[in-house]
Amino acid sequence: MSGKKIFILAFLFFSFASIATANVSQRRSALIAVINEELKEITRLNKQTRSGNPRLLLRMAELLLEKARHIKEQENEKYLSLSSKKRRRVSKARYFKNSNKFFSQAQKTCLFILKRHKRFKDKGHVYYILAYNAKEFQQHKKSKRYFKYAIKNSRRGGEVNSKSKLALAEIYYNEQRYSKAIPLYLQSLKKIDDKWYTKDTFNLAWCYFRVKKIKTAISLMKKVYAKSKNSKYVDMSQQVERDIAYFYTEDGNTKQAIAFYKKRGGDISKNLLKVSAYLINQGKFAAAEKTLTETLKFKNSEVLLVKIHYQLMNLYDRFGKYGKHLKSSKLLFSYHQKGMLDKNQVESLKYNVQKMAALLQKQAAAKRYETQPAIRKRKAKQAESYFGILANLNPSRGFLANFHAAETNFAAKNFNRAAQLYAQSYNEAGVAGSKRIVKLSLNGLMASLGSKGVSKATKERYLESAYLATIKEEPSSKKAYKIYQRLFTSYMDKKDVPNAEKTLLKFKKNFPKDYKTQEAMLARIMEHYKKDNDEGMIKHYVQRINRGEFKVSKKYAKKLKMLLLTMQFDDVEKLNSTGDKKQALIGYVEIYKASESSKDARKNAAYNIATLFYQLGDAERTYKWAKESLNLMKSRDVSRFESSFLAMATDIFGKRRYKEAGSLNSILLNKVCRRRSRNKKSFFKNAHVIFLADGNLAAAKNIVAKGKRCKIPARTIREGNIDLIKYMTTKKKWGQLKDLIEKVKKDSRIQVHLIHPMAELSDALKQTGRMDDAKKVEVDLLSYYRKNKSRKNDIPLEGLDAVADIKMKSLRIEATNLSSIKLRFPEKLYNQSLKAKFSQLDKVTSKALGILSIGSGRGIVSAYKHLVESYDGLGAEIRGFTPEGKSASYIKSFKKSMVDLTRPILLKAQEFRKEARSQILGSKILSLNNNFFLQEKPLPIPVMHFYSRGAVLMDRGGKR
Amino acid sequence: MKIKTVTLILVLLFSLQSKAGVDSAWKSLINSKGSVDSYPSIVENLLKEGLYFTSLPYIKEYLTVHKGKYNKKMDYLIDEVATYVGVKQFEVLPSRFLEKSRSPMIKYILAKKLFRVGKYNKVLNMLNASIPANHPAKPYALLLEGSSFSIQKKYKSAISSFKECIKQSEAGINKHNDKNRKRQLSINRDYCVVGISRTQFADGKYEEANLSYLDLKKGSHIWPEILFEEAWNGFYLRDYNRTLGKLVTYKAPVLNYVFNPEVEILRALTFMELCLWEDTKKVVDVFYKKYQKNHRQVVKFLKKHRKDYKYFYLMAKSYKNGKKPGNNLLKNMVDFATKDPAFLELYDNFHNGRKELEFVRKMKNKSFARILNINLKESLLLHRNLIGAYVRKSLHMMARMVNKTMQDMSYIKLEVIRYKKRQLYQLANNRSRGDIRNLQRTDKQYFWDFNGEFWADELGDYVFSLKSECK
Repeated sequence: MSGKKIFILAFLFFSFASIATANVSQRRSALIAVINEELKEITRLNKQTRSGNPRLLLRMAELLLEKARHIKEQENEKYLSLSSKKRRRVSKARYFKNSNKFFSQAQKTCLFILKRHKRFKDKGHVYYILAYNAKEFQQHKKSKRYFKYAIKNSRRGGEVNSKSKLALAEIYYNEQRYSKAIPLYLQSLKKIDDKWYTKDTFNLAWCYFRVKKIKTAISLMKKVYAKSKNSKYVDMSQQVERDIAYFYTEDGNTKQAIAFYKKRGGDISKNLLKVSAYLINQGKFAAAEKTLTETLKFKNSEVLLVKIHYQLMNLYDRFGKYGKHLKSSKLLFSYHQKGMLDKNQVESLKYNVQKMAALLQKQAAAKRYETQPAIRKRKAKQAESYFGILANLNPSRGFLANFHAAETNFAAKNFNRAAQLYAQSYNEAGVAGSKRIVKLSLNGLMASLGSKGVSKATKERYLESAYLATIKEEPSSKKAYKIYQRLFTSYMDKKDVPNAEKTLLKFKKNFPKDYKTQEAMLARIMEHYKKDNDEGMIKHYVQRINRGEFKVSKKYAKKLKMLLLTMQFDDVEKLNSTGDKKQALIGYVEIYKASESSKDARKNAAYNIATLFYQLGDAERTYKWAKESLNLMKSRDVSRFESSFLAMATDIFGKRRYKEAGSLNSILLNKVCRRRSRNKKSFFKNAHVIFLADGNLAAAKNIVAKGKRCKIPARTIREGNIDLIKYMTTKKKWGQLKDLIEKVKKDSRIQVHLIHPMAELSDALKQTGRMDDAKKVEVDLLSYYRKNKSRKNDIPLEGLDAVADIKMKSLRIEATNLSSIKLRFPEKLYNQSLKAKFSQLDKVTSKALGILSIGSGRGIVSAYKHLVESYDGLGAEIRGFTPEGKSASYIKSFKKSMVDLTRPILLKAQEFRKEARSQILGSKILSLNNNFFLQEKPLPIPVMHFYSRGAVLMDRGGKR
Repeated sequence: MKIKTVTLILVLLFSLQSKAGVDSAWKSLINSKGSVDSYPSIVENLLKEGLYFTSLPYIKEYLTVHKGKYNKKMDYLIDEVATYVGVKQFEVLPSRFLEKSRSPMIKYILAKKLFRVGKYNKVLNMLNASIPANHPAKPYALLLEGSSFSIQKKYKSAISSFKECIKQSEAGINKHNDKNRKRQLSINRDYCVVGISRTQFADGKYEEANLSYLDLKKGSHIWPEILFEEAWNGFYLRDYNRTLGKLVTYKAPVLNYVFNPEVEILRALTFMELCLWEDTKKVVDVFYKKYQKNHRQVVKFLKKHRKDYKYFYLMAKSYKNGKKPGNNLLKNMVDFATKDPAFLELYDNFHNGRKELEFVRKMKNKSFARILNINLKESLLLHRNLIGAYVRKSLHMMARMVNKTMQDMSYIKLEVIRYKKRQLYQLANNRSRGDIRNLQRTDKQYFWDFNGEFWADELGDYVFSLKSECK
């Protein structure tokens, strides 16, 4: 026995609604009993199969749902049988408790199936139950979702599939998602042909209509109309008759609608009017409007037209179609003028016009349209039109309508028109004797004229007289308070300063304590004079203020003074540019000195003064003002003017004002120390060099010490230190020199420059008896020499000279040693001493050659001199030696052999002499010993030079 | 293999005092020196002394262990042993070992195994010309063949096989004197008789089937169960009163042992076809009342004893000895199982085997006796377990049948309820047709209970005279 078969058969979609009243209860009880029986059997089966058969579970869910519905009907009956009073009091949930229990059980069963039997083929059935259950509990979203699942999980074209589609289509229809509903209706109606076919097709027709497929909609309506005649289906013919004309109308096929009605007989316009009335009742206002519009196309009596327009007017009101509403209103008003409207119609028209005027007025004034001026303007205009109709409908109160129209225009910022209408209502209200509106109109007029955007012409036309009148009437009123100001503004706009001043004075008289406004008015006047460059008038007002004639805030008084000052500044600038430097200087000095001047003004003035003095060549004042301006300037300002300042400093130096020049450079260096600057290096160099030139070693040291912090290039700092060392050497500042050398000696690039100063220092130390210190310095300098020579670094000549001088000392000792060896006889002793002499000569030679390799011009010449003297001296001494007590022949022979022996020595001395000459001449050596080699006729005695150090020093500082 | 080990250990211990066949067997065993090649000779000698169960281990070992040229003598021996001990002992062997033999009996066993797994073409191939016409297995093979043809919708061939089967079975019955063998063959013949009816039924020839069923004599072992098939045939012929008549026969005390819950299904269905809703419902309710509780207990019982074959054997044995279980359903089931010819054959064979024990005990060659005793015990233990397994399987099958029937009954009842509900809804939708009172019936129309007496010659021939209530 196939369970499936049973279930497919048993899967009934019952219609419970049709269980009628008589015997219903009895039948329902019987049904519940049967369901219980079935449920019991299914439960038993389910247990036997251990819930392994989803179909059984599904059937169980169906039965639970079925039972729940029957019970709910029972409960509903019971609930409805209560009196309304009692019904309100009782808990509804309590009455439906039992059915809810079974609904819930059905739900749980379905969810259990879905959980346990994920691959159940008929899941669609389960979802269908869940969907209907959800629908029962008004869980529409859930219901919709489950219907979708039911469709997805059921056989296409099957009963569940079709029913679910129909249910979902209905949901979409109710949600007004017609394009989604259409395919579902189509698919399901292909399969389902029950009594509700007509109703569902009717809905489908409406869906088509909503998606603008009106022809299909009409065709379906016709089908429904035809089927409705069959008793098998629900009769929908009345609804079709009602809606089909509307469809035709919407389709623009009114002829068909007319034909439809003609077929049925009757007045077409009236019918269409009925259709529209129905549509309005249905809330289908757009359709109603369209129908009415269509109706207008027929020849209608004026009475009917009035009716149509009244309906249209109401619809336009509903849709906010103000333009059309206004048109209908105007038309109806024209009928009113013809006397065609009855009392009620006139009242209705008045009401509508009033309502619309008020509405539009409100809209025109609303914030919403502030950013949409065109719309606002249009709305104001429409409102004005309504007020116009209203004025005509009630002429005795016309001034009021005009006043409102003016107010609307004012709110819409249409001030010109507002002013015009205010003036009109002002006049009309005056005539009508409405003091309130007169006052209000005048106020409105004032407000309009005082607003931005009002045209000049309007102002010219209404403003002055309106203001004057108001002031006259109430000179010290609140309103007058504003009017004075507006009048003042009006005069100022017209550049009528005298009248403006008069207004100011009147204001001062009536509102003496309102300093602020007075000040503002005064400011406006001052501004006027400023523009006119009327310094005199400004001075005049400043004096009046100083006299207390006008009481203004301190701040403004100061500002005014500043204004005066600025004007003066401008004058000075002009003087400067015209070449009147003296006057310009006076002006700047005044600005500088003026207590009102701001720091910036003073700064600029000081700088300009410095510049002017520089141009005038006054170094002293240039320095003074440059320094002054620099004190006021921040480093950022200095960067802007640094080239000018450098020029000034150079000029001051050029004018031999070293102290000032150094100071200025020092200040400039300090100012730009931490900033990027093109001239920073120059300031650094200038400052320390000028300070050294001025003998201000401390200041120079200070500048050089700042170098690193101010990010001066290392090379420049090194040069600065070299200058300091040289200066200290020259000035014999041995202590400071020693310290500085200690500080900088690690810099290998500076060592070559230290050799000479260190040699000087060593000498100085020797002179003070500090031999060890001297020796140490000497050792250091020789080491610097060797190191740099091996590195082939350029060593300054004076350094080389210093090294050569040191080496020369040992040469001199060797030469002295040579001459100190005395020749003696007997022969053996002679030979020994001669040997010693030659050996010593070798030493002299090698020492001399060592000095020659130093490259010092002074050293070279001296070394050659010692060589020549040693060789010559030795040759002469050997040739001149005559042994005592020896025979002449011996002596002759001895002498002859000695001549032979000494010839090469003397020749060598000649060679050295030649070499020395060629070196002196070739290398252009200037040395004290040059004459030894260059003297053509040698002097009988060697020339000796004695001089004291510094004796020929030039005072590089010039005249002091 | 255990048997082999025992044989080898004790091979040197023998006694010279024994009968000729046994002596020869012993000699062969000694000479074999552990080889299975001599087993056909040993078996042959053992069979000479009627030691069928005793020889079984040697045959099985030969089939499983022997390699090389197969001794054709063994096929003959297998046939002889299978005819005596039944085919079950061989059925438990894997097919790959059985396939070594060309014995017609083994072929039949293999075909039976294939039939069980639904490979009907292979069954036919296996049987095709493999069993000689005069072979004892031939009638059974023909039943198998006819059934295979019938399942494959080759109805003509099926009927032809069944007819041949009847012929061969009849010939066998006349040829043998053995009671058991005669019973087996007569049952086989009767199955072939109903095989023809069943084939005609399957072919939709209900009238022909109806006549063919009459060929089965009421004295047949299988007649009680086939009566039910006749009832089904009547149902298909829409002869519901005859169907009910056939079914009521089961209420006769002589057929109380027949266990077939489907009888009630058919009865309920027949009432339903006659639109006798309340009768249908009553059948369902009575069925549930009778079986639901008992079935639960039976299921529990079966779960408890799982595969304890010894227990099931002992239960069947004690039942035969008069010890009945308390649960009526279980009693009914055991009763039915123990009256089954297949069971009876197994059971009788087992008792024959026990006679061999006596023989072996009296053997003078104690060494050989010990070996043979071990072999015999092993065969008999297996046979006992086979009986237990058969009983167990039968009980399980019947329990499942009850469960299935209960479900079917529920579905039938649901159909009845559905009908009732439909009536109610129709009333709701179309009140002009009447009201709930239309559903009620007069007492005369109510339940027809058979309370009459049964006469042996009338069994199966009752016909009801109920009128259909269908509208």
